[in-house]
Amino acid sequence: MGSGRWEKQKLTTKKKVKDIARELIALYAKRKAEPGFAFTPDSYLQTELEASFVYEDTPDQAKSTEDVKKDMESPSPMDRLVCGDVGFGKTEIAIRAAHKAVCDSKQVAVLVPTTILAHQHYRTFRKRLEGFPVNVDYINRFKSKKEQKITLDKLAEAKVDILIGTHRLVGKDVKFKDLGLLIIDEEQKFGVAVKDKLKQLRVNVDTLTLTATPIPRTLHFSLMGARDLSIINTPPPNRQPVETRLHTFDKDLIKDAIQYEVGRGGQVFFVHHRVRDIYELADMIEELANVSVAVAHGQMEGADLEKVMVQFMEGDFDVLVATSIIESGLDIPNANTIIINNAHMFGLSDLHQMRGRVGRSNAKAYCYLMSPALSSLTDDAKMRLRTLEEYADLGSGFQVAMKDLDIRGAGNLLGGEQSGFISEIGFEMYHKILDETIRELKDEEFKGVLNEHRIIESRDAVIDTDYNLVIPDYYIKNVPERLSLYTAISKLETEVALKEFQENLKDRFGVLPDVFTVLLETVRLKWKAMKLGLEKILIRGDKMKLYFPSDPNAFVYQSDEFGKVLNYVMVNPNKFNVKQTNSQLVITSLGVDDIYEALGLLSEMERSLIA
Amino acid sequence: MKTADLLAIWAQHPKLTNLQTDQDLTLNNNLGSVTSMLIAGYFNFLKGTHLVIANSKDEALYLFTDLVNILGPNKVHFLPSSYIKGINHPQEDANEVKQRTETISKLKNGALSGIMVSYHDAVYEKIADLKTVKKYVFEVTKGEQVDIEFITDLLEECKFERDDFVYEPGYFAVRGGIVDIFSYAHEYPVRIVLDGDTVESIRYFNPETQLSVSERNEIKLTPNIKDTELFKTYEPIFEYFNTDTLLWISDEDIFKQQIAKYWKEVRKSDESDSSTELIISSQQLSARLNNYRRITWGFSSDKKEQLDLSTSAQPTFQKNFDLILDELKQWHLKGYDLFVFAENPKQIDRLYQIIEDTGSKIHFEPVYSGLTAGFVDHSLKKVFYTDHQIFGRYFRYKDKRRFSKNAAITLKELQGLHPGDFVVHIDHGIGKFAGMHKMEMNGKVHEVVRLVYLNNDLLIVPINSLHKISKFTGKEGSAAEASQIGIR
Repeated sequence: MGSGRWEKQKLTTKKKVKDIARELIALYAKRKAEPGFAFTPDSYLQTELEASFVYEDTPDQAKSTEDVKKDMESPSPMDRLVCGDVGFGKTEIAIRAAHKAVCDSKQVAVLVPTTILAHQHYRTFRKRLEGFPVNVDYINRFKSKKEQKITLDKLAEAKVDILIGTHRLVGKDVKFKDLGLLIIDEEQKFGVAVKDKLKQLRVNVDTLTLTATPIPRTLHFSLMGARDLSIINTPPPNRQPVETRLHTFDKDLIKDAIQYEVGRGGQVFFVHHRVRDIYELADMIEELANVSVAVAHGQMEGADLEKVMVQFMEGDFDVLVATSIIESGLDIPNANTIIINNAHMFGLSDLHQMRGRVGRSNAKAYCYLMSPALSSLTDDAKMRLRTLEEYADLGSGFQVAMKDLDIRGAGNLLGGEQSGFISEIGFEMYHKILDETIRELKDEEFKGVLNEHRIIESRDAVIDTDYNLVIPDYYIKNVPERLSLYTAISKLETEVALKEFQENLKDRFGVLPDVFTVLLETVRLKWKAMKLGLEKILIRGDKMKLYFPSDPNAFVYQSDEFGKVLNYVMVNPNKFNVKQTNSQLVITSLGVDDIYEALGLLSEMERSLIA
Repeated sequence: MKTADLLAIWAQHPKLTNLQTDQDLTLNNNLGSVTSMLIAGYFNFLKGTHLVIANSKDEALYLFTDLVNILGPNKVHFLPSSYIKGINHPQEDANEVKQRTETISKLKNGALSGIMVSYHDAVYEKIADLKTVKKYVFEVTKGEQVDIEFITDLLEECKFERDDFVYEPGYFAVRGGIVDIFSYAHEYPVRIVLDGDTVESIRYFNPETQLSVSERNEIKLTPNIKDTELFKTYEPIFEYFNTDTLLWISDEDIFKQQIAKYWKEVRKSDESDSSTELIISSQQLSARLNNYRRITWGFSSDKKEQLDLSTSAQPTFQKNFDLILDELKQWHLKGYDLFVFAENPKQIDRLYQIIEDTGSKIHFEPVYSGLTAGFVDHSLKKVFYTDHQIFGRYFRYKDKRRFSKNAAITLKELQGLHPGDFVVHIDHGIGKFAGMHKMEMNGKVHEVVRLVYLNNDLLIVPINSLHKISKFTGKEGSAAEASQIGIR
């Protein structure tokens, strides 16, 4: 095919993806064969823990919990990835799994990428498991050597059930008495050395990995057999929307907002876009609202930064003036107001992330977006701010929109460093390539291992006809709407979806014109072509040509089904004519007057498969 | 137990007799949701029209939610303000205007039997003269003969705007024999399907999916009553409530002070733009209020007779179940009956489970309905607690769904392709989307997508290969670069 740079880039990407995926599938297969610990079914305590969750489980959350528990109860070691956006309740699933492990007297390691997160998870776990017979502890560099030793000694004696920490957890001196579950948060953020250690660990220990990377459901399907995956796509139902106000910079408003929040015992995030004048701003706020203020930004020493964050978490300050560093995973339930200064300087996903820092408890949460007068902003900036104001809810619509814009942390799906080439080829294309690669691997290299039945179906078929291929103007005039419908048509995959699509169109635009119906029939034609293992169908006038793959090694040629089709074609010489050019087999049929005849002929061929 | 049984219990309430006078009253010790229960109970006894004026929209929505839960959705209406940011920022919100219109259209010169829940800001705002409104309301019935031109002319006369699709009140769209209209008086927009000149079907549709949700036999289309070009005269809302109406007012003092403050500022700034004509004057408000019997709570300095409701609020237990059970036991020993409200039956089961696990014997009556805030009623000797306070959950009020054109369109914009957008073709790499094009081939029309690559090379993608292209989304803000297209 092409000789361009693209082809090369695609091949390199594919090769890299393939290497990572191969390793992953191999590991997966190995684990399935390895004996592990089978946890016992839920105890009464487990039921009570799950019932005491303050929010209602979303269906996805309930499903994920079930998935995890089933994995734990099975004898082979678990390796499940739970994907869900910020605030969708991944931590709750981790807590439930941890508790289940502890109920069977096993220890749990919770590995997180930063010291702050370690601290935060420790608080969350402890609070959530309050009143349950579980000992939670943490280890990070805020603890003195002596304190660390005490914790580690307790761990070795199994006096600590759940230990939370950073990469320190995989250190040599950390010895669990009986480790039963490993929980890893945002694995892609760990270095290679840690990952290698994790790889050894997880061969026979149940592992649960959490990530905020959005993964489309379609990809979920192809990942089956490479990684066990649970997706949480829906936000918690009774979580309240964050009241979002767009406003020009206004000292009175800032003062009111801060004093209101502090007055009800809460804390405030104040986000500023640059470090240069952040201290001046902090002084201004301190004076303005008469509150205690701390500053945090990315140019601070790591240890200092962590200290400020932890102090804020402990409630030592009323207001945290910070740069956008607060976007990453920080969870302070007591902070329920966020003020974002110069909001127009941030991207939509950053703003969404930052706003997600508040509204995580029962108190009503507020987000103030400060920007110059709207009239002075670019259209793009205006749209971003409006979108955010519009979607106060973590509604599903917004999630869909965000997914398109978002590649944050993308690539940890396979646990490798992939974000580099994702930004080169785009997020969706990466998913497409990943999908293709895994299917190839499963077909070619892991055929026996995964025990999947091979089918002759081709991955795609080209349908080239000389029929009209258009939605007429008089039916749908709006051009973007036509485009989005064409796109939807090309993505249809099942008869049910096609029928529904047709019904919906009839509802919105009235009875479909014949031309349009023919267009939809070509979709059915394509499905049939794929089922028969065809590569291409060409229709010119009343002549239809069916092309089998040009690659002589294609699986279809080795299959029984192919023999059946060929046999059927041979015994019906009045309808078909078979010709071989080079290595490619082409069947020609004449007198195909319209699409319905073409469909009829293919249906007959399809029936011969079953015979 | 159902809420109807609850009303029966409430009918026995000793304080209800205290209400049965012509006196203005001020409620004391009205904690938790007792105010909503009292309003519901008294309405059930008295019938007629009740106007509830809460302090804020939030308070109003909680009262509204409680009243709907107790009395059902048909008797209770919600009247919001058109301005989401308050009367000081007269920026209209189409959804609020729609709900306001929807509610007002139910008022037929005070003949409403039911409860109208509103709040300070919404009452300050005047409404269009209903007689003129009626002139612009028109009805379409299934099977009726209508000319499509006639409908569109009428809609334009009523200041409806024409668009390709309808997402927001005030818009209409025509596609062949289908007319989509988002009238101001209904929750959903309506789709009228014509067969020739006959109305074949009328259905509500969801603006987000643009798909039908339910069938109707007829529909009344109402224009924007805030449109000052259509409607010249505006009247205080009280015009539509005859003097038999009972007013329930939260923080009456603040209610009066705020409007006085508003007018003082308007006079000071010397800005008498059109929006101020839509607001009731301070004197008007005070004068009008005096026409009605009022029952108030909160800040109210008027000398009124006091009515002590003798309730106490449900304490917060922070999920300490021992405390909860202890407390419930205490009430039981004192001879109080226990009721626990929960929207989700699972929460009741959970409470039963906890009681059973701890081996205590506590009997309570579950009420499968939501309630904003629990309370203990000492005159009735009954405890009404809520599951969300026991378990520390968040209770969300019922709010009508909001549809916004901006939201729908931004979503489309984010997802859709626009000329100039970068796209990736799985076989050819990154190019720029250059729109759609119709090509003629042997007298047949193919609509195709065009992509421009480096050196202005053009790639034609047939519509049945569109699954091969996708919008390029790299890191936000980073620019893409068109690749060189390969040579076949």
